[in-house]
Amino acid sequence: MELSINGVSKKYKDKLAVNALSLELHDGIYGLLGPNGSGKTTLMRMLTTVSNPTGGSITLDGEDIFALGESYRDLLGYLPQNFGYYPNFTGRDFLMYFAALKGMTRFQAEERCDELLELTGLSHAASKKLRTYSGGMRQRIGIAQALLNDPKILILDEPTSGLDPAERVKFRNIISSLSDGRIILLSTHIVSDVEYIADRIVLMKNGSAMLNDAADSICSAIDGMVWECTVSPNVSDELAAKHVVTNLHNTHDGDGAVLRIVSEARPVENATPAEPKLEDLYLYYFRKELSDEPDKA
Amino acid sequence: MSLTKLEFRKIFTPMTFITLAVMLVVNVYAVFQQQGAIYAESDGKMQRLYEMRDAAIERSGVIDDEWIAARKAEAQVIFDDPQYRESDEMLEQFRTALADEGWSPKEIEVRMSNPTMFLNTEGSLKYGVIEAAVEAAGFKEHAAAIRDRLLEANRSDAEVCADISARYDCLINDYTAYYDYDWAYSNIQNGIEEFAPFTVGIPVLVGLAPLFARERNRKTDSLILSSKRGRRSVAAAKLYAGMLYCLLVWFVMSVSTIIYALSFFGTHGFSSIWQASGSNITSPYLWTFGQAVIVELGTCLVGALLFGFIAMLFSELTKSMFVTVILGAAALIVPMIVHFKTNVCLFLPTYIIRGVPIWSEYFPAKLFGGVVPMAYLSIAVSCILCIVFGLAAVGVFSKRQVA
Repeated sequence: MELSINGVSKKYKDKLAVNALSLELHDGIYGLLGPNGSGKTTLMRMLTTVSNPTGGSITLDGEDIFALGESYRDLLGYLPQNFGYYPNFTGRDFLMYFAALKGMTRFQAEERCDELLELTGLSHAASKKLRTYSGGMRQRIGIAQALLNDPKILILDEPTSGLDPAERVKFRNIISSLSDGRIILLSTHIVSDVEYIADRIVLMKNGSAMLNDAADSICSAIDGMVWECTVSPNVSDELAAKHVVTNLHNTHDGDGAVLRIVSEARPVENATPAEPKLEDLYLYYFRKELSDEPDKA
Repeated sequence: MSLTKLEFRKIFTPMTFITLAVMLVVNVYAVFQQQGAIYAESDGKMQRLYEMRDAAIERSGVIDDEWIAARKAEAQVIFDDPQYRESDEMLEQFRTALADEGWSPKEIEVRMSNPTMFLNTEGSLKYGVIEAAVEAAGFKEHAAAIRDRLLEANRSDAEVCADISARYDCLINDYTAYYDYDWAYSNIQNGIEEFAPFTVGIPVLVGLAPLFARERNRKTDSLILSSKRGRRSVAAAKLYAGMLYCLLVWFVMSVSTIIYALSFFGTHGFSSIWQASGSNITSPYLWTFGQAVIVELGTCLVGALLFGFIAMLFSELTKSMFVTVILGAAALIVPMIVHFKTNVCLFLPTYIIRGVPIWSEYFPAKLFGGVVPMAYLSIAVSCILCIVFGLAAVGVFSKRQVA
């Protein structure tokens, strides 16, 4: 199965949300990384046919997905960012409703709903109304509905939002177990969500794909650029102002700080090279965007 | 699994239930409003109501020449009785008051030529007991006057005049009319005419305004639109669910009205003449009162469906429950406040929900070389518009994009 994104663009009035983006997706897990406004959600909406591109095309095995219509959507599982729900529906009602939308028979739906409620740890809350669910529970029911029809193409937009660390690990394990024979596209701000499970990573910026590489080799883009050093607090502040600091923690005696820096040149004399990680790559490539974002704390 | 059943369930929010409950209570008022007013004027005593009821039952029968003569004689006895006549001074004061209000001398004379104007309070109460029967006795003259007025208005069209003459002459000369105590049916009719836009229209609007709009408000549209059956199929399911809901609302309100009316006022009057039920019924349809009420209820259903489809289309086009409610309420209520002089009003959902107005007067229309009552056209156009609006809502929804 090959899902091809061919020079796809999406323009809203004067803003180009996706800019002539091209990607080939095959079976496996793709992590889509990028800051707010990079076009991830817009791209995912076009892949799920809920938004029409203003340029380019998206094809599945050579056929336009918008022309395929129902037969394409039959293969889809989609979890949008900030999705809605019906407060008076129970968890089971919600899944049964979407099972009907996905064309499942009642028998199939009932069996599948039970399975997914168990998988997402919501069996105990199946008969409770959605308005009583916590944010994490609603996210899990969203994940469950995306998996109802055993989709061959799974599009997940910020799927771990609202999940605690244990739930995030469980989610990663579920996705990993599903990756055979499927295209899974997962967008997130949380690097660890994709670091261990993605086969390929795509970095998006200003509507374009900046980097697209296998997960185990994408960090080679910043080979030799990651350093660790221990410095005094004064120097630590200076270095933070001049370089991309991907980690900082103070020493136990409080006299110094251990910094992890991404820089083309050795930042200080005692800095030692370190193995680059995906988080280093993300913070380095999006340093300007991240410094412009309002402080979410 | 039935998408329609699931969409139908989504219509029943707490607000829908509250609205239905409130309208069921309004329905009680609608049915008992007329007699309630008489009861209130009688200082809370049922005696007068029983008197009027018994008078109607006593006078029930075929409206033939003998019956008509007997009713007119009864009325004349009251008019001629000096104890029931207003004093000359009071009549002069009344004449002066009319002149002060701007009535022309001719208008005043026409008004004062009505013998009931000369009745004092006691006389009015006495006459009120037999008034309905006396009006029924005059239905032939009334029909003839309407016929002549319509012939004059359509004098340039021979075909239309022939149709008018045929219909009204049949009513006047050939139709066997019957008079009976018919309060049950007149109250059902009043309930439909005066209150159905509220008791049927408002629950339809409240239930259906969110049907399409809510999916955007709640951000469920991206989940729905990306599903296999999430475009045409779900839009069609919403329409079917909307239709079923309109049918349910109409059914609940109609059945409750019928039960209230028949339980309290009895089942008499199904065969009584419709045209004698009030001066606003001037059409020549040869229906009994019971048959007319059935037609009005059926018309109300068509109006409810038309209004329901309009609400669903607004819901999809505006994607806002609030705007849909405002527009729908305006479409429903404005025609009740503003009087339209043209026949266009016969095609408005409010008029069709009210059932009575499109049938109470006769509007002949030329169509395909023949003469057709405008009321038939109104029903046919409503059915066609339901289909058009429904297809439009499906079409727009299936092309919807998530903003």
